[in-house]
Amino acid sequence: MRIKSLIFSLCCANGFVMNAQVDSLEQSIDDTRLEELVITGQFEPQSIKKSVHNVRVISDADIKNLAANNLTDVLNQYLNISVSSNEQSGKSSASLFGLDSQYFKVLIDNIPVVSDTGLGTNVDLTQINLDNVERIEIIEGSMGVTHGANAVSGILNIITKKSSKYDWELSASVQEETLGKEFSFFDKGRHIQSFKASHNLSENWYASVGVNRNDKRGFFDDRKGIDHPVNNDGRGFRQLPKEQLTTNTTIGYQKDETRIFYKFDYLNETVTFYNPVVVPIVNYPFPETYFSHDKRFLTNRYFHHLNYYGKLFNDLIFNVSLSHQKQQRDEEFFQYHFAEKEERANDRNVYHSKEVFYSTGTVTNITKSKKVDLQLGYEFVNENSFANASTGVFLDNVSQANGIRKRLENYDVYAIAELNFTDRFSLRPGFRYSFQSKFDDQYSYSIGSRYLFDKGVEARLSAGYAYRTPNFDELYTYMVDSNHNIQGNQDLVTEKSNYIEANVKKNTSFKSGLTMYNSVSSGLMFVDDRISTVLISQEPTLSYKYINIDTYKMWNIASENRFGYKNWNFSAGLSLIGVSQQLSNNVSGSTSDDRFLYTFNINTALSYQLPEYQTQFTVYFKHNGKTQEFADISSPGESNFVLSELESYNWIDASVRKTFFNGKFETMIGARNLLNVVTLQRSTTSSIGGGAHSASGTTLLGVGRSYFVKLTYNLNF
Amino acid sequence: MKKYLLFFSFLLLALYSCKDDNGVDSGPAAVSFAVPSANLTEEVTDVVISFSQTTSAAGTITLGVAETEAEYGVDYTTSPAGSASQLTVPFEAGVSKVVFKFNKLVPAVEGEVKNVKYTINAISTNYEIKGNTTTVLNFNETALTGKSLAPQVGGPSQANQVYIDLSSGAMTTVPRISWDLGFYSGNEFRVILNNSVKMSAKSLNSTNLATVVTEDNTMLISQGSGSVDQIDNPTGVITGTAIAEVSANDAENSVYLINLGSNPSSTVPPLGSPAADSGSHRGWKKVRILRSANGYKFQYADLNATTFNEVIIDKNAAFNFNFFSFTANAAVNVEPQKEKWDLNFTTFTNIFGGNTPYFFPDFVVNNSRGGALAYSVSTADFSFDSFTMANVDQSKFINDQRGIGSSWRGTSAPGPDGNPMSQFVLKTDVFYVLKDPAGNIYKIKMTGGALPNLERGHPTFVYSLL
Repeated sequence: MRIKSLIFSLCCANGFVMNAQVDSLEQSIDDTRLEELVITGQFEPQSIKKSVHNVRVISDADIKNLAANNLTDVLNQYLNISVSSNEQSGKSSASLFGLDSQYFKVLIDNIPVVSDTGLGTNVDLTQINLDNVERIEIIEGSMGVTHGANAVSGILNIITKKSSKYDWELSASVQEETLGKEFSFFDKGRHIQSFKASHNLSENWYASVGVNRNDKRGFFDDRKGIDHPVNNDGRGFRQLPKEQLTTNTTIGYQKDETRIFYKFDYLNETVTFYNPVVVPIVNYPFPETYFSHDKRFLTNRYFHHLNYYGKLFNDLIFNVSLSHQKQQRDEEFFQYHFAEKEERANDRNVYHSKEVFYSTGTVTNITKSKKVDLQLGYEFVNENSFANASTGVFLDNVSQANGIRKRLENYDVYAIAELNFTDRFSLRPGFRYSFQSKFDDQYSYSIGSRYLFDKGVEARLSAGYAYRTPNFDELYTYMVDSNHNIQGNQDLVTEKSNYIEANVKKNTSFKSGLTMYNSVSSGLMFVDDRISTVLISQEPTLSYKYINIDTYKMWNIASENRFGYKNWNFSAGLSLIGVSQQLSNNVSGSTSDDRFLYTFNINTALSYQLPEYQTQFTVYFKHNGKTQEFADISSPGESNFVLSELESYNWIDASVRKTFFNGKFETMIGARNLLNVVTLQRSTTSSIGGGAHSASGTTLLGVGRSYFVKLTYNLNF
Repeated sequence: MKKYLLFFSFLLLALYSCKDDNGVDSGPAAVSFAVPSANLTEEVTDVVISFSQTTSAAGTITLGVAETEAEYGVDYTTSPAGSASQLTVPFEAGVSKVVFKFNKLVPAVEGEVKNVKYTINAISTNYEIKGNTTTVLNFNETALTGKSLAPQVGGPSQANQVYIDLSSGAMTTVPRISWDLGFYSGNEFRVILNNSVKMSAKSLNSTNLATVVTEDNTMLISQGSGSVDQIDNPTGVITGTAIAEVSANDAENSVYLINLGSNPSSTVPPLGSPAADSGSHRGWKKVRILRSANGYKFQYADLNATTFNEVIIDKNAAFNFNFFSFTANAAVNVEPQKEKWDLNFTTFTNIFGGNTPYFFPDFVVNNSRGGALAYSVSTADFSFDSFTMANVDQSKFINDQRGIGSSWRGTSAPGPDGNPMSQFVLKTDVFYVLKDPAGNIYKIKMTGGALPNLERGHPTFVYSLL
């Protein structure tokens, strides 16, 4: 074990993480390379080959080659994930297998990260900075046993750096990016500055600090910005300006079998909405002056994580994490007066807030046997959430808007066994029981198996059951007046999901130096008791209620392939996802067509390096297939489910990276969205009656083709 | 050491970013007459000169004087005293206006043009002279050349109708629910419904008012419901009333079922939303209208009544209509005389998409029946300030009371999440030209419809005689 962890920390120290997705500059491919180690869902860091879970890795090199500042920048290229951005707020979220970010958990060092409305879920990807990240591990499918509630479609675990092989490591970088064709040093484009320093204080102590400022100015498109006092829909921005400041601090201690680290991350974000509507102030006999009702969202996130890893009674290995996290999003209304260019009547309120006390821990090596190991774990979650009335519609019985404040707790215990029948065959059953404060007690289970054949062939088969807990809107919405009746439902139960996945992969090395990795996997998922707003009566007004009613079925098949030859690396993935959802309309008693609707995605990456020039070229390509879904647009007396279709598009990112002076100075230029995809067509066709209702619209996908330059100065000694 | 220097200079470069602070630029302060003209109805009139910002120092304003059939010291004097050619008005520091008094000594003879015109020629402090640089004080009643008005329609419920006479600047405010039917005073025998409360009328194809009838909810007007045949033609053309012309032959005058529409809401809506038609339903009546000499014999009853009331309503040529209220159970005064109003700020039942009655708050009706016609001008074609008599296109004055209508505002704005939200949006790219019953032509600019906090139902406008 000791050797293993030594190797592990060395790997980390070098930033020398082996991966085959796309190679980093430092990496050389040969048959004797160190095995790639993964952490997520493992008892102990272990080789990706031995892992029973099918772990996918996004490496530090990928993050670099994409000049990724936050999670959005990398996940755009990930095969089964589609990233959607709110065109106005610039918030972006991931959906996996067609299930949105409520079913997908984002973790930092194995701890779910707080978001406005979730713990690990509903994460705004742009708020997850990648400055101090070593790699990202993704496991698709049901992970309810190891990661608890809402780990339904998968988990994403961000592994941060916690050690350095240098006494001092200093790094500063600037990144200047266009937003489409828009750029200027102050008012347009995206401007990123970052600084990092780490130092080995002594043999045992390590500390690092980092600061990152990401200043994304508003995307104008055809809009006119802030100072445009005319009511012709011209004022404001197509995409709102967003400014983020993140800091990260890590203190690590390591002695013998004991490893302790403490991390503190802070995020401050400001997003400002400039209202297209200008309001005149009559000033007769002088000309009118104008102002606008503008608004900004201010987010603060505090993330504390203390982790203690060590041995007890010489044998038992324990790993305990304590975490306190808080995210608060305020809304500040103000009037912007054009003549004076001045804000007045500023009024700031809490919009969303969530405070979390969290602890998780495991004990392993209980049996002291190589054949059979057992992990016992717990997860305690105490969430205190607040949602302002304006976030949803929370009214009381006399129709006064009310904020909602609730505390949710769950105390979970779980056990996982790893049965290594032979060196080749492992079986991994697990079970979790969750004591819930708000809902009925829950449980999840999973079973995984792995077989290593000869010639580098690995096979995996896993199945699991996980659940999603209802959210605030689903539970507490209350909007009843003379024209509306939409009610949340406090009797909702959790959504239940079953998932099965089979996977075969093969690593091949040829004498010529060609290395090859091929993988095929297929999964099947059922989600029952899906929550949906359902029309429950039509008289006297249309009444809607959240009910556990819909079903969701998904199956997919995906293949990932990677090739390395000399200075070339190429990877290609193909994925076909089929989703069947049955929507119900309670009043008419009708249900939608539940046939499978398919989406086909391709991603490829090609890189080439010129060692003699310390230069690397990388191109990423992703084809996002057409997506379809049924929507209920029934009107009184007529049930109508329509098929809504979002057209396919291709996305290419490319970059060139070159280092000078022995790696001290690093430059990078690149382009995002080279094919300049700006809007997507969404069409709606009626499925019943045919053609009676049809509509189409466009969705703004991004800002168009953008370019970036990144300069980094590294000083290590 | 060198590498540290290099590193930290790079770091400085990295942290170069600083925001360019927006400079404060509110423009120079300005001075103007409060109005461009006034009629001297009193012996002593206050003439107001406004400052756009409170004065920072004391000073004086020098006015030029031009007399028409009036002589200083004989026909008028001022306080402070001036001369036939000049008047100097001192002002203090910290004031937003200064007033001089104009004493009318000799009134004008009927029909005489007699006035004094003042021009701001100079101001001792650094103020810009703009807005109304001149003001004309008329000894006789003369059409005003411009003003800013704020009709009191009553906030979000818009409970009032406000009739405006531009030439006098007079505003007449009446509650919308103060009347139900209007009996036409012109040549035709026609009766209109109060379309500010969503009334509708339906012929019962019977002449017996004593028959008990029932309510008919298909007549109610709300989003997507109601019939255009049961409301008056929104153009205001008198031959388009929902109730057929009252025939001289009584047997042809059918009983009508009258839906009295909706009250303004008594509860306060969310800021940005109107509450003009969300009050309680006003009830039902059955009516039958016959001719009586050169007037009307009006018979009405509750639906379940087997007897009815009857009143005689005469025509009065000075007014467009004589009005009747079921609530007052009597004839009531509503509109000013037909040549004494040009605009009516009201709510309105319009037709939307060709075949659906649709209720509009923030509506402006021009008095087309009295001869006031209006049309809109885009600021892409002319600016309000530069628009003159020469730019007026007479062919655009058409016989429609919706010359302004709802075209001066929108009611939805994109919210921060991209979804539309209810909000009053003034169109700043349009203004209007109106010809009043006397033939005066005005340009009109709407300047607002909601309070700064977004509360609906607070329209304002400025106008100026061409």
